[in-house]
Amino acid sequence: MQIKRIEIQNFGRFQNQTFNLQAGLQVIYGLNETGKTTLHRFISGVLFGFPKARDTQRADQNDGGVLILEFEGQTYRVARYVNKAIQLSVENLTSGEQALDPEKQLQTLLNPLNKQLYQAIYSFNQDDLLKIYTLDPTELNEVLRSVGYPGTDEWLTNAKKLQRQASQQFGKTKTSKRPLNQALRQLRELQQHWNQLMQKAPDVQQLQQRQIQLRADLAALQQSQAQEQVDLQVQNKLQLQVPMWEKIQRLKKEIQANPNLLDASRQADVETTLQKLQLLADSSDERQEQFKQFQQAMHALRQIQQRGQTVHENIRQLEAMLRQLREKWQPDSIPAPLTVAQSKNLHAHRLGAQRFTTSGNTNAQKGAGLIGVLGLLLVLLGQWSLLGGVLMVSAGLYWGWRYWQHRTTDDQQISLPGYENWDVATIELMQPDAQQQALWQQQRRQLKEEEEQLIVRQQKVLTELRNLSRQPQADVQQLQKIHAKWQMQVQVQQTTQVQRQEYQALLQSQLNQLGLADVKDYRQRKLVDQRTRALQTQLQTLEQQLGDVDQATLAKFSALHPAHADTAEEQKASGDEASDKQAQQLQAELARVNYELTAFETDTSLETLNQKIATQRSLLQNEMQKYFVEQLSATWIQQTVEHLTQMQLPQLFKVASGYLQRLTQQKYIQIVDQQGQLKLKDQSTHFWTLDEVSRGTAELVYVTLRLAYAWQLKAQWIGPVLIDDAFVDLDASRRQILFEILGEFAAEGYQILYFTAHDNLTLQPTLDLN
Amino acid sequence: MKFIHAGDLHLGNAFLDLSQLPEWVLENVQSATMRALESLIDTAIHAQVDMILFPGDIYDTHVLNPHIQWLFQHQMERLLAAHIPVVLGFGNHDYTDTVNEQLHLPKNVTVLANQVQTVRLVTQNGENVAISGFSYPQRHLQTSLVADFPDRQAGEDFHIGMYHGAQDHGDYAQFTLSDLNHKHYQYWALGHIHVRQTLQAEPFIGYSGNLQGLNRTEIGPKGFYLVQSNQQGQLIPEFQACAPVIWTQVHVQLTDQMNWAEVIDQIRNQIQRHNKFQLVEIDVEQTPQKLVAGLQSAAFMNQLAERSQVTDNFWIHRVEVKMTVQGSQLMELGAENWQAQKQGLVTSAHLEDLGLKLVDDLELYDYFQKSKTHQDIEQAMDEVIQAIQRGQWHAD
Repeated sequence: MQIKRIEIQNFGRFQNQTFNLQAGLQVIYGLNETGKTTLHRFISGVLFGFPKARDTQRADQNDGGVLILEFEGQTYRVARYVNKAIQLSVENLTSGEQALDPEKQLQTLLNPLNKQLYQAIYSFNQDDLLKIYTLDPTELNEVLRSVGYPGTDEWLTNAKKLQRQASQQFGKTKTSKRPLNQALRQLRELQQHWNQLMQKAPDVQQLQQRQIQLRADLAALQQSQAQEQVDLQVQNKLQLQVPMWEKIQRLKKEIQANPNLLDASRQADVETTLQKLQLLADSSDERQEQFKQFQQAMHALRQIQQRGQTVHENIRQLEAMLRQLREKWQPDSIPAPLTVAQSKNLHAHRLGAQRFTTSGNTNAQKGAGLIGVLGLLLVLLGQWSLLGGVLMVSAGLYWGWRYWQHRTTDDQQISLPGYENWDVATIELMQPDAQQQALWQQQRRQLKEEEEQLIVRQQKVLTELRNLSRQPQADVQQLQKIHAKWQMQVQVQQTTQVQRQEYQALLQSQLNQLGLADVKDYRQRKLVDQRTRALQTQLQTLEQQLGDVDQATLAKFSALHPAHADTAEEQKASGDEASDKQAQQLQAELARVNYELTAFETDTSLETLNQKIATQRSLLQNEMQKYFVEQLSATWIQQTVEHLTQMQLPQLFKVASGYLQRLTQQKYIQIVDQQGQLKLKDQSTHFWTLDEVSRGTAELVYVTLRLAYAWQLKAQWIGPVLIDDAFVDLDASRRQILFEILGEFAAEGYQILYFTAHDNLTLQPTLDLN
Repeated sequence: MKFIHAGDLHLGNAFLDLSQLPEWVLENVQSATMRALESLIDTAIHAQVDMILFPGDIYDTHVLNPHIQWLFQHQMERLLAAHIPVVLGFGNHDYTDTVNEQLHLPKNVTVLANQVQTVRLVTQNGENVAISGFSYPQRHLQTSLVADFPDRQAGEDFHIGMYHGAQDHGDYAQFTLSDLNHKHYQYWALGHIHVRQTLQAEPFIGYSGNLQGLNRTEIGPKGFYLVQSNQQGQLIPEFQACAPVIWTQVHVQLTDQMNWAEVIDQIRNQIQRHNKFQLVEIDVEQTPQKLVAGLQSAAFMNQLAERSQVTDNFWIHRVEVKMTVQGSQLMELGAENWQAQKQGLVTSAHLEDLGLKLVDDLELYDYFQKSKTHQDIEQAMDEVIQAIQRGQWHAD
């Protein structure tokens, strides 16, 4: 591959610059700062990509340009711009094809190179050479040896990093204190801790057994303590009981003294009877007397009322009849009837006049008439003529009498009060009515009097009734009601009374049965019985409290001296103390055992520790694996590189030796590799190590190796070699030899661009950048 | 009939793959296996099951501590009070001998002998049930014990088999499905495999899986089977989750515009809340280049830890970074060259040299002797080399 032309649109100091290049070795001449390095970079940039804007100091968005390349007979136009949409374009100018995949196409031109490789192999600059001076022999050795396989130094650097990283984590000696070593120590400690815990772990079965045992012991102890307590209580009780027992004896005596209790059922009967008697309310005779009076009064009242009614009725009748009479006679009132004398007078008077008219006498007249007639008849018949005659005579007498009477009366001027308006006859007629009237009026008067009396009497009776009933306002109806009620009461009272009497009798007989005289006796007896009963209750209570304690014991005990009881108590007390202490001990141990068991149940320290151990082990596994991987990877890299280098080196050294020979003018004739160490053999077959030779010589070794390698690759790739003022240190003769060697390269087809600021070269510069 | 089939309790076992635990997570985690068991017992008592079957690996013998023993006893006593019998067989982790002496289990628990033993009982509904099984006498059993199991008899309403073993591993009483089927049992309660799986649906032969996931591969809900008989006389298991801690994997997408605070927020927000405590592995897909180094650094894990709160119901234990593949940055050294040099690099001898000899913890030491571990190391080395190749590897 050759570069025919460089078209820089913009790069560094160049803008829209074009440079045409030749094949083979050419010198590009330019003083410092004229852009030699820039060109170098431009070529590299178009071929392999410009560095990103922010990566360089000379960041420029407009960088870009074109290289016209020739490769395998074809001409290619490779254009690359930093900031265009299409950064890279590759066009085959010969065929006119635009590459669809510019990167790929470019790669075929450059294969197998990438930027680093290219730089490493085909780019020579001062920095590389200066580097030689800064490296220590070992590094230098490595660098030189790695020339044989460029890119391997990067591998080796990485391998170094791996090793460094790994050994930072873990040291191979026992005393190392690096992180993984520490971690291992920690794991060990955790394991030890675990072992300790396992040893210390309580024997749970045993603990549980002990717990059961302690509980049993404690229970037994408590039971015996309880028993003692009971005994003590019995003792105390006895002490309490003695006075009780004594009291009981006294009570018994007292009860004995009292009479026996009344028979309960009989007493009950008595009580019942008494109760019943009580229920029958004691009616006072006085009240009864009062009722009698009341009743009588009511009766009287009724009578009065009845009588009153009758009287009233009679009065009414009389008045009605009187009214009738009056109406009959029409004047306001019929005067009073004549007295007997008067009437006689009148009558006599009237007889005469009213023989025939006096209606009152009509019947007599008629009778007399009849008799007269009869008498006549008899006479006429001649039968009883005497009798008839008598009859006639008497009739005639009668009539005569009557006439006489009539006349006499008529003659007398009778002044009759009230009768002024009437004539005698009427008066005579009136008389029966008048008499009737007078009679009636008298009756009426009497009745009225009676009525008044009745009213008075009634009032009196009412008052009396009201008093008796204590209802001053009561009217008759109410009184009647009261009466009825009272009557009922009285009846009830009477029944009650009867009952009472019955009960009284019964009571008496009951009391007698009980041997008591009367109720008072009975009540007294009840009091006594009450007392007795109280005593009995006391007795009972005491006896109950005493329980079924042996009476004999108590009897004995009561005779005991109290001091004796005390010493027994003292003994008991000391015994108690001992067992209390024992109980305390047992409880303390039980508490401890319980605590241990509970602590054990809730103690997760073993599991936690187990997990921590596992975690630590996991960590160590991961990290140690990583460590091994790093170490072994480093070793692997080194071995692989070594191998490759080994494969390459002999051939490389051979070619390089040739160059070295020429360049050192036979001073050093061979470069050899002895166990990884580069050595130079001189004519006297003495081997010089790198630190034994001058730096200049070391530099030359470097150059020869580089060139040798590039030479070796000519089968794989031939392309532009950029030498950027690399050999400034060489003296003229050496430089001359170098150019010869470069010429050989050019003959092979390499395009060699030699950038320099020196002008004292034997070659003519192709380009002058100044 | 109702019973519980629960296997591989591994009581008291620690959680693996956790390298850093704050105290509050530690508390959550150390009691997880016991809490899972407690939950199982709660369900058993509440549902009034006829029995509980434990076909092995109740605990690891070398891990067993008195506290775990006591807690287990206590749980069995709860079952005794509820009149629920337990049939328990020991597996390859808790195989008998010394352990048996130390366990004082109440009388409702029958521990299967080393020879196949049949336990008979009558359910609450009056069904006659026979349970056959055995306990491991030693760590490995090279032969199958299926032949020793009795056939189902007439008069047995149900015959259930308990078997702790694997189909495809010669060290664990290897069995075949046809062998099991020949016994004509209605149910085979298997133990040993920690992943819940059904080998045969009808009659059921399967693993209930372990009760609580203990490492980052045992993800998802874990629990036991509650098995009930149906009208046809078949025994149908129903999974019930009881593990208080669940391992999950959460995939997270990040963009390179995010700053670290946003990254942590995004990660935390992606975790779905659950009523159980979650141990979360974060898988970052297509990690933006910028974030790769940071995500893999210890500093980032520390930041995540700092942002975690006691009120979180989760803990992020790991962040896996999947990188987008980029082109080579470093010189290719040739795959064959790499391969050639890798041979014989990862050996116990080398590891010893590098520092394994300083490790006196047996488990840790053994871990690095395993060929699986060596393979993992080789793979990790590949990844390192590839990362370096791509320019994606940076020193911590």
